[in-house]
This record gives sequence, structure tokens and C-alpha cells, in this order.
Amino acid sequence: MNEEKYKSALNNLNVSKDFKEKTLAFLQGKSVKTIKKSILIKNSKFKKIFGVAAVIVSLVVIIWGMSFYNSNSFINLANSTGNIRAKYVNRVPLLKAKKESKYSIAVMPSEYEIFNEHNISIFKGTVKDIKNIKLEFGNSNEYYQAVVTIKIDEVYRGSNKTGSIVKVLLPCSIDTNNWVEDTDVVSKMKVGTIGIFMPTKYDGTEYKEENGAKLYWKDISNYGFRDGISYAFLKTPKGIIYDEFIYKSLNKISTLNDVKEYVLKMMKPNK
Amino acid sequence: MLNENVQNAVLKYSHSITIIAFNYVKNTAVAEDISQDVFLTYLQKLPKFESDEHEKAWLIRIAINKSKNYLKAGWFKSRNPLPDNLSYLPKEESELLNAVIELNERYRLPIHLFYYEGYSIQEIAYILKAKPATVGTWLARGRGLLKCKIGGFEDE
Repeated sequence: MNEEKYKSALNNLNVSKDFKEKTLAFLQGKSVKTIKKSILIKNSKFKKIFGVAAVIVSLVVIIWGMSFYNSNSFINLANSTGNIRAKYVNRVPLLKAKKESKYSIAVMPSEYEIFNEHNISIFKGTVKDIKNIKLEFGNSNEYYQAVVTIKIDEVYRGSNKTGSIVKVLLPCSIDTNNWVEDTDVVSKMKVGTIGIFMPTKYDGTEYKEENGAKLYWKDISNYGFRDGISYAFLKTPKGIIYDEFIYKSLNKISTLNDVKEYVLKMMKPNK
Repeated sequence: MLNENVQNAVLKYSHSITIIAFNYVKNTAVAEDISQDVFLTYLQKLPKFESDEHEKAWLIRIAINKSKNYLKAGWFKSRNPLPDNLSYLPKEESELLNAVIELNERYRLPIHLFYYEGYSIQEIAYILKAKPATVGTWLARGRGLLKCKIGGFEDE
């Protein structure tokens, strides 16, 4: 009878003759405290899981550490002189607003003067990244600004190519509660903001001097805004943000195309 | 001191549990490891059972799960231990055993529980968490496959 043969086959399987004793001894050796640990160590599945988990945790720590290191790393100031340090920072401390900020504009340029300024590049682009930076002049004076990375979508003036990436220095930090005079426009920048930007391309002569130390802006970035209101038109959910006081001839605009038409019109005398 | 229930369970069911694991991994050494692991789980959890049958059914269920987990082997690869060479068994027995363990798991386990452990279809349904009618179908199909291979499980 096959059923009997099947039972006989299984009963004749070559299992350890002292398996019951070995199992009892194995279980006897497990104290209550070590049961959980034993299971984890014994089971290779758990070993693998813990191995993989350890690798993942290590990678996360390394990546986090690298990002922390990068975001707080000092910027190489090749041409600057004196006791100056510049570094990227994650946090900007709350500062008391200064009415007489270094960046406040004594005399507003006219729109015609802006389009005739030296070294102005004009392009449409998208903000891809924003990094705040801390500038230290000696041990006492420190300033917070930002460097934005912009991908150029359309070039109206300058040697840049569509699709290229430029870094532009802002006169204020971004996404903080610190108020800096005359930065109403650029302070609205966020990652993803589309706009028409008119930064100055540094030729290496522009610098900030304080306590005998000179910080050449080109050490920080190749481009910068001369102030925080006059050189950008930003598209936002609330409409186009720009300085209405300066651009008096620009009215009833609702899109960046309107700004583009205006910019091209204002550039004509230079062509 | 080892828990008395666990000790009794080892003495009564260790062979059955090893055979259940063998049905999956087809290797007695690996099956013994899995069997020990089953009793270790028992020692760790110390569940309360209404009856001996309930206890045995729980151990079988754990053995099935641990055997499946062993074959899945976690995240990296499937394990496929070298099947035992059963040539030391009498020819008819080894052919029959090979025929059963080569069946699809769906048919193999009901066949084993029905013919070796002597469980009813209702009890197998409880252990495998399936409907009795389904178990009946599996048994019938398993028998049909065995008939094709070795001429049937029961003398006809």
C-alpha cells in the first residue's frame, strides 16, 4: 500500500538519531535573556538585514556629514586680502534690522541708466538653488547674503548661452526673517522662481572693504545684483514683482513676456 | 530548567516537524535546523494551547512559515539546498517519496498531512488556513498527479 510505503520512507529518512536530545540540549542552553539575541545571531536572514541596515545608516551618516561639511565649508577667497572669511551656512541668525544698511540705495538709478550700465547681462532664467553665505570681516563684523544658481532660459544681452548655469550674489540672505533695506524684490526669490534677471558680470575689480580687509566679489560669484530691487523681475502667484518706482514707464504688465518686450525696447539704443 | 511543555513537545513532535520542513527544503540537515528553530520560537513565545492537537497544529504552521522563509532567504537571493540523495531507501519508497516532494507545494502538503499525519480535510484546512473544499480539490489533484507519475497513491 503506497500510503504505508510513504510513511515508511519518511520514517526511514536519514535524520540524526539523537535529534531529540540535541534539540533539548540546544534549548536548555538558551537562557531567557539570550533567546532573542540567539535568534538574531543564528538566523542569517537577520544577519543580512542588520548588515544592510548598518550599511544604509552608514551611507546616510556619510551623505549627511558631507552635505553638512559642504554647506558650512569656507569659500576659497583667492584674490581677497585681510582677515576675511566667507562660508555657506544653513542657518541665518536673527539680526536687528539696520536702517542704514550697506545696501540701501542713496540715489535710485533711472530705468534708462540701468539699461546703459556697464557689464549688465540680461536673461530670462529659473532659480535652481539658493545658498546663504556668511561674510566675516575680522572678528566683529559679519554679514549674511546669498548666492543663487540660475539656469538661463533665454538671453537678451551678454555672452551667456541658453541652458547655461550662472551664480549670482544677492545683497541679502533668503528665506530668513532678517530685513535688509532695499531688497524687496530679490528677497522674494525661491527655488523654482522664474524671472528676468539683470545682474552685473564682475570683472574682478569690484570689492567691499572694511577694517583694511578687501573682499573681491568675484571670489564669491561671477555675477551679482547691484542692489536688491532694480535688477530683477520675478514671476510669482501674485503677479510680476519689480520696482514700480524705478520702472515708471512699465505699466499694466501681467506676464514676463510683457517684461521681455519692455526690456528689448529699452535695449534698442545699445544695439 | 527547560519549560515542561516545550520539552514534551520536542519529545512528541520533533520528528513530525522535521518531516514537514523536509517537505519544503528536501534536505534533512536543513530540516533539522528549521525544526530546532521552531522549538526555539515555542520556547520564546510560550503560547497557551487548548489541546495537544492545537499545539501540534501551531508547531506545524510555524514549521511551514520558517521553511518558506528559509527558501526565500531574505533580500538577496533564494536558497535552494542540495536535495538529499534518497537512494539509501528501498527503491519503491524513494521513488514514492521523490514523487511526492516534487509535487507543487499546494498539493504536496495536503497529501503529506492527510496520509502521514492522518489529519482530516477539515483539520488540514484549519492548519493551511484554506477552505475545506479547496483542500479537497488540492488532495484530488495531488492524487491525480501522483497517479500519472507512479500509478497512484492508493492501491486501486
